[in-house]
Amino acid sequence: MLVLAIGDLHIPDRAIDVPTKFKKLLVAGKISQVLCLGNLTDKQTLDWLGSISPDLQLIRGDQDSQPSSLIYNSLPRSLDLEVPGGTNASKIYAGLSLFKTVQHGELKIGITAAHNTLSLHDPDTQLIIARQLDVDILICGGAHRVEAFELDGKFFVSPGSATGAFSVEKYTDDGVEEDEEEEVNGKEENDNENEDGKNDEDGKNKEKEESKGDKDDKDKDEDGKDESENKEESETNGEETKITEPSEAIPSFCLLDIQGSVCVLYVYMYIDGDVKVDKISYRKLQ
Amino acid sequence: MSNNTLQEALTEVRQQESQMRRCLEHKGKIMDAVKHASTLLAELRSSTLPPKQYYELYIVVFDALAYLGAFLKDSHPTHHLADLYELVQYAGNIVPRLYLMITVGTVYMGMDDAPVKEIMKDMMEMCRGVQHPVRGLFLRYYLSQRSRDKLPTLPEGDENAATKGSLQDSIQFVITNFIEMNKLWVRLQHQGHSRERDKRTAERQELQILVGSNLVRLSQLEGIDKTYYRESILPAILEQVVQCRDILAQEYLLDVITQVFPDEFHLATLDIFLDTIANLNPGVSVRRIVITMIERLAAYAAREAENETNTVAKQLKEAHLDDAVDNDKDGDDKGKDKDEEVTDPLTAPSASPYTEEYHRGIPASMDLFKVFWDHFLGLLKARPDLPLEDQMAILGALTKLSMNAYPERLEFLDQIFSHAAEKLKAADSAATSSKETVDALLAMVLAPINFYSRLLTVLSVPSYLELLQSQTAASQRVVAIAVIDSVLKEQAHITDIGDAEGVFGLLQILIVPRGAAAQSEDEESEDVAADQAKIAKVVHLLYHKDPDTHYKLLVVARKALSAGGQLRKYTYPALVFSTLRIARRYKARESVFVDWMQRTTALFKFIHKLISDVSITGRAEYALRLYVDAAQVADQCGAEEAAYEFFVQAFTVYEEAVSDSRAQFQAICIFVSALQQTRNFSLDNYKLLISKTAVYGSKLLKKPDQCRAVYMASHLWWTVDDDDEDDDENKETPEGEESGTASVRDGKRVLECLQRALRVADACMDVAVQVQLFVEILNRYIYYFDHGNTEITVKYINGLVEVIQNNFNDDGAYDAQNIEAPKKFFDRTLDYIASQKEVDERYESIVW
Repeated sequence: MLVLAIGDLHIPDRAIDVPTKFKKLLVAGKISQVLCLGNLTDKQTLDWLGSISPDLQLIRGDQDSQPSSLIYNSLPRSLDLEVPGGTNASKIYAGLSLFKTVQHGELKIGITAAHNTLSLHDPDTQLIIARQLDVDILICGGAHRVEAFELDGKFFVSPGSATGAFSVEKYTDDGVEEDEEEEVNGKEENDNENEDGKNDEDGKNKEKEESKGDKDDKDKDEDGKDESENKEESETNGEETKITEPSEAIPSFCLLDIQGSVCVLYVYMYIDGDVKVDKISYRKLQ
Repeated sequence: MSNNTLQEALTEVRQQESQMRRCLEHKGKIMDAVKHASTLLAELRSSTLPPKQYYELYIVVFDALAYLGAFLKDSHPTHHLADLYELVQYAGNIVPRLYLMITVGTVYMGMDDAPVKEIMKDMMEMCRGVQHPVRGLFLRYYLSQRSRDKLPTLPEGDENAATKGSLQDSIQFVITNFIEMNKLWVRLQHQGHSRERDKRTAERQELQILVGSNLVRLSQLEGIDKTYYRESILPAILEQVVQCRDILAQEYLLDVITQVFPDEFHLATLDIFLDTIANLNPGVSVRRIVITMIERLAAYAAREAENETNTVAKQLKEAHLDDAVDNDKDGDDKGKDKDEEVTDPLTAPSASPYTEEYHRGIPASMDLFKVFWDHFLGLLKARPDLPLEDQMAILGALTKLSMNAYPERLEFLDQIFSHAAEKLKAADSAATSSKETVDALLAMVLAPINFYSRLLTVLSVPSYLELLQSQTAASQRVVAIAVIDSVLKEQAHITDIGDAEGVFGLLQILIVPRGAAAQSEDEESEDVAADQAKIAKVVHLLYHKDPDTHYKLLVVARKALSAGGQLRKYTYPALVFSTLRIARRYKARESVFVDWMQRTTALFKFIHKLISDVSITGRAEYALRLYVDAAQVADQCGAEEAAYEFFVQAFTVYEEAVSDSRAQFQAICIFVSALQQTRNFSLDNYKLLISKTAVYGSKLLKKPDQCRAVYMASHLWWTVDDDDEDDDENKETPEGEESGTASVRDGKRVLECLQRALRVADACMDVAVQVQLFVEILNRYIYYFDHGNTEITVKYINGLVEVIQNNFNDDGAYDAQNIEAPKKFFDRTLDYIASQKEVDERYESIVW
């Protein structure tokens, strides 16, 4: 079965809309369940997600506390969230709706937004949450970049922002990313070759990080001019010859294809007007 | 009653028809058949049937006569049609006689040796004999129908034209028939009682198609050129139209003329046509006639424009192909009209002394817009009483024409809009507020927005905004939404300050709250929120590659949006995030802009104001979140003062406005999460901020919240590098910045926090909650143990494990059911410790 993990849309405060090419991909009929990782801040997008699959699971993101966010008033009651960790724990967490778990096949999946767990850049805190929720896969919203890694036999996924919304996270510059990209590609081939033998090479810490941001494609058109500008400026400044525009989040989401104890994760990224898909698989240890 | 009459008539007709058929089929008795035909035709003499029923009867008769006609055709020349034509003249009554005559005559026209011209003339003459309007109309309609495909089309000079007739004869034939039918039709209005006038008008409307069919016939005649149409055909028709002075006839016929003749003809005769309009009965609704013509030509221009681009594209394509192929294609693919446009100068029609150039199908020598415009002004003079709504509707049609035919001539639009605005000012409010006027105006102002793919085009029409602002609020709102939808659909960046001002000018009506309703801030409708969300999206389209200009664009936006009052809470956050983007772009130019720090400071002041306005509008919790976001970006940009100030503001909002305990807990999570990611605070500032956060946590009302907030806060004394896990990638924090908060690792304070959290948990009365919290804290212990915090020793972990185990063993204090989840969590934690023993020997000493 296919499960969609999508989040951090931040419409309209940070982004205009989900890329049209994503919308064309995500249509009703194929996807059994939608897991939305918070910051779903407009009604239109809520309706759209609801149209992809009637089984829409939501949690609260960091920006969703806004009182005027009409969207939460318009949610049907059935969407009220139950919280794992036992009845008492659920009493404590109720209303905040910060965590949620779903079971598919042999896999239990937990969803949460990062700020609740301090997990933005710290896999070890994510591990605590995964242990607490007793899940095999923990999907974390809040970080506007795609990430997926295995740790202690569990699978951690960050589907990024579906709109490529502005992120207050610290950005990295281009040089570092290119290195990462290569690494990713290398690993990918590996994945494709022995998808099923994956858990053999399962170390304590295995990480795969998707590139966080190419240069924003909007800037691309103007590159030519930028450069000439830079040349002028470079005369006054010896060392720096090129301005690197800060990278922006790449729109992305994830699809989880779950069969028994195996989850194949498809990562969709919208780069320079095209949709790029990567694949990673995870098998639960028995 | 009359229904019975109709039924009786139909029965009689069918009876006679079947007898007629029998006579023809079995015995070939043509004369008897004709007699039956004559009898059935007598039914058409009725003057009691209303037009609709008469029409029904006519249809049945027509079919019967068609059968007779076909038979006569086959039996010629055994029974020579010329003889028959003479014979039927002896029928007793005029109506049957003329129907028979036409039946025979039109069949005869189809024969090779027939004196066509003479027959046509004779039939036309004889038809004058029936002057009863309904009977006359149908008789002539019959003539028109039967002769349709027999009309001669020979050119004037042809040697056979004298007997066979020429195209001109056909034209005259149809025109004469038209004129006579129109007279009958008009006369119908004046029959009977004057109190039945409306009924009469309704009946005439049912019959109008009979008259109009002549014009259709005329337009179908092949070989008419536009010169002849201009010189002979149209004047004759228009003369009749004007002379009849009948409102219905004038409105209907001018409409038909506009519809049936080709666009080129209209272009060639526009002056005549428009002059005619001035001479119509004052009761005629000029508006519809003018608009129909304008819209027809506007649509034509649009079609031709499309063809032109296609032709150009094709020509470009063909330029690369073989010449021969090129020539072949020309003939096949292009219709007549297009041929005209692309004919080369040598073969161009010699009608005009110079080569006509066409632009969007309109001759370059003709200023189509001016022709209509002058006519419009003339019309206003001639008909000063023309209702305002009619004027506006005509102006709306002119707008369409101007855009389709002269898309680049924006001065035409300006002319229209300023005229409309003037008229509106002069008119009284009853006229300006009538629904029709409002609708016409709305259509007019919407048209250019939907037409120009580059929306900002309308901004260069000076009078557009003036006209727009004189509209009703509802209309303006519709336009504003159309503007937004168009801008968002285009998805093009707005890079020009003037454009930005223009766009927000167009959106003004949406930005400003609606009247008194907006004063009550409690429940805005979903619609309002949706509109405001659209405006917020427009903010994201403001962009310039030069960050200074980008900033100026946002200043323009803020200026416009500041009129929003309470609505600012929907739109300002978009401004905040857009400005934060610029802050990063400034940072990227750190080495280029000498004064980047000053610029950055200015930006953050701008942001500060924005967020404090959001806070005023009642979205305090969201303002808190925005302050924290701004603080994080400010920290990344090295603007420490701003970052500090933003945190202080966030704390202030927390203290003043966040009272719900859940919201408080979440706010603290946000503080901790953000502070933990900051890197550039001085140690003193950082400690001030984190201590404050820890204090907030320890003051939470509910013990579990308090406990969790406190153990979360422990992370503030233990920063984790972003790339801690990427072993060899540690370049994110250069050496020079080590003095910042990147290296805060105070194991002792961490331990203190965890111990305080334990004390809070210990104070919980509910054992199940308590033990859950204990396990959570145990996990934090292990986290720090894992991370090499030497203050967290095995002693503490073993101690806590023991406490938890004791809790579980004390089974009197809780329901087993409630404790199940924490118990499992605890087991999983122990499993983890056990698994770590294999890879980390420090774990060996943790025992239970």
